[in-house]
Amino acid sequence: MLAYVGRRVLYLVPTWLGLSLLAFVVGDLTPGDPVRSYFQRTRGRPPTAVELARMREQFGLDDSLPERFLDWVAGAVHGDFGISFSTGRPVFDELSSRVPATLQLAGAAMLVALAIAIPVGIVAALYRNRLVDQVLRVGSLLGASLPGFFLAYLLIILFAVRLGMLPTLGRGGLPHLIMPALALGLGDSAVLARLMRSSLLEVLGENYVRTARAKGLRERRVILRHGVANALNAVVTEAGLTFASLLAFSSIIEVIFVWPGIGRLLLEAITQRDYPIIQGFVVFAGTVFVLINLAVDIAYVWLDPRVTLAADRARQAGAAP
Amino acid sequence: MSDRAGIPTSAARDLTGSHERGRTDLAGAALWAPKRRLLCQLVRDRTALLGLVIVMVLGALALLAPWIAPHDPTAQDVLDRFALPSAAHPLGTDHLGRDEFSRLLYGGRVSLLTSLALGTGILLIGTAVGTLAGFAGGKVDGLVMRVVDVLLAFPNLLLVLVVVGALGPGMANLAAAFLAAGWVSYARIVRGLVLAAKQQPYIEAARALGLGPLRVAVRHLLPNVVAPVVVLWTLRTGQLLLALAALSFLGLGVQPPTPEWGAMLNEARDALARAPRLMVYPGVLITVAALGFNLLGDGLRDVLDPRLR
Amino acid sequence: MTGPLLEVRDLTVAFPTPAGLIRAVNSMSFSASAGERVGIVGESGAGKSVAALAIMRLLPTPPARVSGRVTFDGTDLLGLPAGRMRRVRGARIAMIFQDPVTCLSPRLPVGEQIAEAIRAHRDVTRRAARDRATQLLGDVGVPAPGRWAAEYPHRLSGGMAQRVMIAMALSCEPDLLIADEPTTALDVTIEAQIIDLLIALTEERGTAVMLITHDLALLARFAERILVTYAGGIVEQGPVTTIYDHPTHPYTWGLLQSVTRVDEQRRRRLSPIQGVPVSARAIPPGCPFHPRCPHARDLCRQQVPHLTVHAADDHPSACHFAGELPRPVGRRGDGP
Repeated sequence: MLAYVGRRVLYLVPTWLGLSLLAFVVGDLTPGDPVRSYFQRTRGRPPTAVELARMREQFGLDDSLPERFLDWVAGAVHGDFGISFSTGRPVFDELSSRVPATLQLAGAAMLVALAIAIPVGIVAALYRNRLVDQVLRVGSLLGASLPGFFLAYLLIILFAVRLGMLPTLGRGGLPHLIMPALALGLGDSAVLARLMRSSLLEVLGENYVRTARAKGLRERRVILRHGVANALNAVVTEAGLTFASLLAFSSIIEVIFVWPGIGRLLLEAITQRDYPIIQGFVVFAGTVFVLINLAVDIAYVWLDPRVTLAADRARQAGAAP
Repeated sequence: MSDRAGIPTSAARDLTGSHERGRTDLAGAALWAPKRRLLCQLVRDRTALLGLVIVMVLGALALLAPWIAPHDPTAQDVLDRFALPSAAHPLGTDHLGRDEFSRLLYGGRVSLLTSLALGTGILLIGTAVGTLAGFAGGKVDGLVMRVVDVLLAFPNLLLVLVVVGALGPGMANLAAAFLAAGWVSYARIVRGLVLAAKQQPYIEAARALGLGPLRVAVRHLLPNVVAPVVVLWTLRTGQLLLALAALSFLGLGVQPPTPEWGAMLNEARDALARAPRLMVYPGVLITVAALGFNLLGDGLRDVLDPRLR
Repeated sequence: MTGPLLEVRDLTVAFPTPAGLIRAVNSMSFSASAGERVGIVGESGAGKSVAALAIMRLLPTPPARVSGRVTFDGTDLLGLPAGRMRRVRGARIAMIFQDPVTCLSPRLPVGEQIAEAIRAHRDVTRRAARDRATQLLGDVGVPAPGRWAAEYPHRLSGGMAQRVMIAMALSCEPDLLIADEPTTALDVTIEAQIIDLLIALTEERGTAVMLITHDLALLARFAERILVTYAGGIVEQGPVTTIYDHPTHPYTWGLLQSVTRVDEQRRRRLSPIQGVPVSARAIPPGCPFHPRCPHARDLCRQQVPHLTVHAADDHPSACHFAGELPRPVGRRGDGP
C-alpha cells in the first residue's frame, strides 16, 4: 500500500512540471503587456520607457522562457509563486488565504448533494418504476441540464427577493452558506441519486442478497447491511471525483454570491490580466486535483475489500485451499 | 424470443430482480444492428424521442431565426424598456428596450450553432488523436497519454477559463480555448476503444491480408468506435452548451451587443428585482436545450449498449 | 410428526412475458420425509431451481406467479405472512446455492455472516454467536477456523466458500436443507468432499436434504430417492436404485445412457438425447418430451401424461407407455 501511494506521489512530479509549463505557456500567450497595465494601475499613469524597462527587469521578464521557467520552478518549490500584479502581495498568500472559503463551500455542497442523493436513490430503487422513481429520473436529468448559475439566481429570486429570507452576499454563518451550497450541490445530487439507484438495484440482484434473505434476515437488514453497504462504494467514489468538478464550478457561484474563494480570485485575475495569479492557480489547483484523484483511488481500495492494488495482489498468492 | 440454448433468458433475469426496463439482451448484438433497427428502437424510447424533438426544434428555430424574428435583436428603444409581453413584443423588451423574443432567437443561434460546431470539432480532433495513439502504440502512444494525463488533471471548465484568461475575452478566443481543452477526454476514450478493438481477430486478419494500416484503421477500427463516440458527442455538446453559457455569463465569451443566452442572463442581473423574467427566459432555454441533448444522449446510450450505463 | 416433512402439491410458477404467460414450473408434486435425502435431477432450465426458490418464497412475486400448495410440517408456506415466512427461512428450511463465493457479502468477514444468521433466529450475544460460528466452521472442515472466520469471502476458494455456506445453513439446525447445484462450479475432487460432508452432517443432525443437480452420477452417491424433472414437471420418481436399474421414462433412460461409465466393458459411442432441452416458452402439446423421444407415438403428441404408477411394483412415471416400453438392460449405478 505504501509503495503504491509513494509511486503515485512520485507521478505527481512530471504532472506538476507539465502543469507549470502549461501555466507558463499560457502566460506567454497573453497579448498586451501586463507590466504596463500593472504600472498603470499602481502608479496611476502610464510608464516611461525607462521605467518600463526597469520594471520588466525587476520582474525578470526579459530573460528567455527556459530561464524564467527555471526561476519560477525554483521559486515554486519553496512556495514562492511570485507576486500578484494587482495587489503586489505574494501569489501564494493570496491563494492560500482564500482556500478555506472555497473548501467550506465545496464541502457544504458535497454534503448537500450526498444528503439528498443517498436517501432519494435508495427509495427510488426500492420503489422502482413507481412515482418516486419517475420523479427522480426527471429530476436527475433536470439537474444535469440546469446550469448552476441559473439555479443560483432562481434561488435568489425565491429566497432573497420574494421571501427576503436569506442574504445573498458574502461569507458568514449558515444563512449565507445555504443558497450557494444548494446551487452548487443540487445539480450533482441528481446525478449521484441516479447512481445510487442503479448501483443499489444492481447489488440487490446479486447472489449474496438472495443468500441474506434465505438466511431469514429481516428485510431492512438485508437492504441496508447487504444492499446499501455494498452499493455505496460506487457512489462515494463518484462523489470524490465529482468534488473536482465542484471546485471548478464553485468559481461561478463564488462570483454570484461574492464568496471570497479562490475561484473568484481566478476570475478577477482573468479580468485584470494578473497572470502570476493565473499561473499559480493552475499549479496549485492542479496539484489539488491530482491529490483528490489519489485519495479517491485509495478510498476505493479501502471501501471494497475485493479490490486490491497490484502490489497487494502478489502477497495474496497464498490463498485458501 | 429464446436464445440458442432454449433457455428462457427473460425469466432467468427476472428471477434475480434484475433492473432497468427489462430489456432483453440485444446488448452485444446492438453494435452490429443495422441502422434501421437502431432508429426504430430510438423512436420507441419516449424520452430519447423527446430529446431528439427538442434538439431538432431548437435547431430549426436557430437556423430560421433571421426569418422568424420580428425585430432586429440589437435595436434599442430606450423609451420602451422592460415592456411587458404584447403583440409587438411577444416576450416584452429588455433593459435597453430590445425585443426579447428576437434576442432569444438570435441568441439560440449563437449558443446552439457554436456548441454544435465546437462539439464536432472536438470530436474530430479527439478521435483523430485517440485513434492515432491507440493504433500506433509504443512511444507515440506514451507521449500522447502523458499530455492527456496532465491536461486531464484539470477540470475542463477551469482549463478553458485559464486559456481564455490568457487570450482575452471574445468568441474566437473562447472557441480556441474549448478546442484546446476539450479534445482530451475524447482522445482517451477513443484510444481505449481502439486498443480493445485492435486485439480483435478480424484486425489481425485484415492485416494478414496485407491491408495497409490506414485502411485497416478506417475501415475496420472506426466503425466500432462510432457508437460510443456518437453518444459522447451528444452528451458533450450538451455540456459545451452549458459551459459556453457559463462563460458568456461571466463576460468572457460573447461580447455585447451580440445576443447569447448566457450573456443575456448576465445582462439581466441588474434588473433582477424589477424584471426577473428577463433572467428566467434565457435560463429556461439553456436548460431545455441541455436537457434535449442529455435525453438524446441517454437514449442513444441505452439503444447502442445498455451496459454502458 | 406424522406424514412427510415437506409436501408439495401442484406447484406452478408462471412468468408473464410479452409472448404470454410461461410456466417455469408446471404442476409439480412431490414430498420429502424427515431426514431423507432426495435428489432432483434434470437439464438446465427444467425449473428445478425455480421450484426451490418458490418453496422458500424467494421469488419476487410480481412478476412471478406462484400457485399450488406447499406444506411444511403442517403449515402452508405459500399462505404465510411475510414476517412468519422470514422466521422459517434459515431456521427451519435453509438453502445453499451455486457459486458460493458470490453468495457471500464482499464487505463482511465470513464469520460475521454466519453469526448474523444465528442472531437472526436466536437470542444470543454477539460474542456467543461469533464463537458458535467459529465452532461451526470447524465442524465443516475449515482448518484454523478462528483465523478464517475473520477473512473476507473473496479470499476463499470455491470449496472453502461452500463449506462456509453449509456452516451458515446448518447454524440454526434446520429440518430441511435445499442445496441448489452446490458443486456445479467446483472441481470434481472438491465436489466429492463437499457431498461427503453434506452426507455426514445431515446424518448426524437428522436434517432432510433436497439436492438439485444436473449430474446423475452425483446422486448415485448421495440420494435415497430421485425425482427426474423435465420441462417444469416431474417425469419419474423413485428410490435411487430403482431409477438406476429400471428407469421407465424414456428421458431418464436417455440421461443414464448419456453418462460415461468407468466399468463399461464394451466401447460404445456416447448417445446423447436427440434435440435440445425444451424452452419453457415453447412447450409442445401433449407429452413435453415427445419431440425428442425415440418411442413417441400419436397419443404422445396429443395427451399430457400424468405421473402414475403403471404396474404393481413400479414407481410413478409420466409416460403413457411406461409399462410397455422395452426395458433397458439393467445398469447398476455406483450404488448408495
